[in-house]
Amino acid sequence: MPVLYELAVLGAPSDAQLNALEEIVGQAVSAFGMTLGAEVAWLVQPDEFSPSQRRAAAAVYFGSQGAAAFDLPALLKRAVPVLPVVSDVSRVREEIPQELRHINCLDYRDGGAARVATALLECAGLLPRQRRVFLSYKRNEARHAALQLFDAISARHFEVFLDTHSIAPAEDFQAMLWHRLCDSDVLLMLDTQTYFESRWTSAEFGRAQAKGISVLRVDWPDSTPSARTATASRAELLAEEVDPATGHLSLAAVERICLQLEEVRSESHAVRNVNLVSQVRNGIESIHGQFVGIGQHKSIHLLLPDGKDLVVYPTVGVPTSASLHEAVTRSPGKTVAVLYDHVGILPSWQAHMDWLGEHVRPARWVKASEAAWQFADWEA
Amino acid sequence: MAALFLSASIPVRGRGHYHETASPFLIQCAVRELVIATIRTHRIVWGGHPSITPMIWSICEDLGVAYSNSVVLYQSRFFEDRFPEENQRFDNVIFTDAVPNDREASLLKMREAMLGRDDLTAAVFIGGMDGVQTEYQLFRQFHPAAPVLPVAAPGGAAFDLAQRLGDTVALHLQDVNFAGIFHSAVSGWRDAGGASQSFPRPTVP
Repeated sequence: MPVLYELAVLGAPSDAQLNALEEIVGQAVSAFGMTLGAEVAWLVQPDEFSPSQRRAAAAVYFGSQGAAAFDLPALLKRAVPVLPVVSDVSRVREEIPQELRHINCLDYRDGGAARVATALLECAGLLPRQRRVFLSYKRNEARHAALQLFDAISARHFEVFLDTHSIAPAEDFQAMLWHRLCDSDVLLMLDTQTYFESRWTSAEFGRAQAKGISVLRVDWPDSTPSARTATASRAELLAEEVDPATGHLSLAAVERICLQLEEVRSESHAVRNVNLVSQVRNGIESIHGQFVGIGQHKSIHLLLPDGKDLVVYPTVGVPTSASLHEAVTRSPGKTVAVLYDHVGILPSWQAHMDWLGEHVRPARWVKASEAAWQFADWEA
Repeated sequence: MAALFLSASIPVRGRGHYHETASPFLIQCAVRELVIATIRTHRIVWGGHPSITPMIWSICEDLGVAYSNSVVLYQSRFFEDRFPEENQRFDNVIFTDAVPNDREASLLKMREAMLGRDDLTAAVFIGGMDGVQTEYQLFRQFHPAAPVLPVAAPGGAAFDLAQRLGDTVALHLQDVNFAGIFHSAVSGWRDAGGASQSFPRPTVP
């Protein structure tokens, strides 16, 4: 398998810090069926770190007095998340280079390697709760294959949304469906003969496209692809890989789909992120503010034209009151906002968010495509 | 309102080498970011594509802009038996006459009508196959001074065009920051006087 994610350790970690971090990160990615140093690139104190824009990437910077020089401005400009770590939060000035001081630092005494590992994995989108897949299929045609894929993908620590498993009986079906789709990186489409004849599956496919979610189309041997699916990535099934009696897929086919899913997911996550952050950067620069960089929890650090700090927390999918609460508690004393992409969010939910935004004063919502106007209006 | 010509399609196997460099997902992303970055300042004029038209319609709906006013589709009557159902839902399709039994001549007629519009101020190319070169040349012929933006990273004929025009560096050929590319382009077009109006504020529903 090719490299799918890129992680780097910069600055001057001690051997003990490096070994501990490597062990925890290695264990975490092996649960996804990947190997640190193979599918997940692991660069320790490289001379240069310029990950591909098409792969999710993040770096941790271990500060120390006189740590090795590294071209941090280039990395920050490319919107690669960099997590500064200090031995003691009172030593930021001594240990952390100027370029990183606007970004919230992790205090190593508070949680050690485990906390650094979690923060790093989160920035690369590699926590299990961030790996979201939506299974879209026609029940009468692909129910057994869907259940089989649900099990296989869940075993690789993806959060899979399957309508029959994931919605409690009393919940509003349509709203739930939409929201879970918006939260996903990939729509796994089981393209059987009459996929587009159902209003539900048709709508799921259309929304995924509008939302910039990657579609992996599993191509049933007897189906003729619709011209609508041309933007989807393709996983082909051979006739002998589908059991006509049970509707089950062969193990080899399931394995192949899982691998392809991981590739499609990494690219989808990375490309959506690059463009979401770019919309914020365009917004702040068009009002003559400054983009500083990306830190913990993927927070985007900005300087308003008057020199004040602004921390923006992006949410993938549908933001909730918890997103506002987290933003406020993660950056006490700072001006904070929650960034989201409002394309695809239900009008009823948007109305609820607007209402909530009016009543929760310490944090605000920012729509990615309207960032320029919202920053211009900012009463810091 | 200024208009923008969009040439976007997904290369298919068996029709040239274009599918070898094409990433359907990146074509989807680039079109999405283009619509988000330009739909409030430009009318988008294009030939339609069955996999992209419904997506543009959905994005317009979510951004609160009227698809039927913001997008103008051209279609040759030569393909009458294959028109997508969306054509009937919106009153924004301009049909051009077919040249009987001549696919290429029918297409040319449609392209001349579409690219000869005098409200076009720029052209964007994403993905695509043989038609890209024809559309580029026609656009140049009708609008010699208007900016042209081939988006390279999603591949296809737009990648070839970007290389041929030679004004892109290696990084640009792989750049998937479409929001950044279109933001810079739109600012440049505005400075060049292409679309002189200021960026209108979105209406709050």
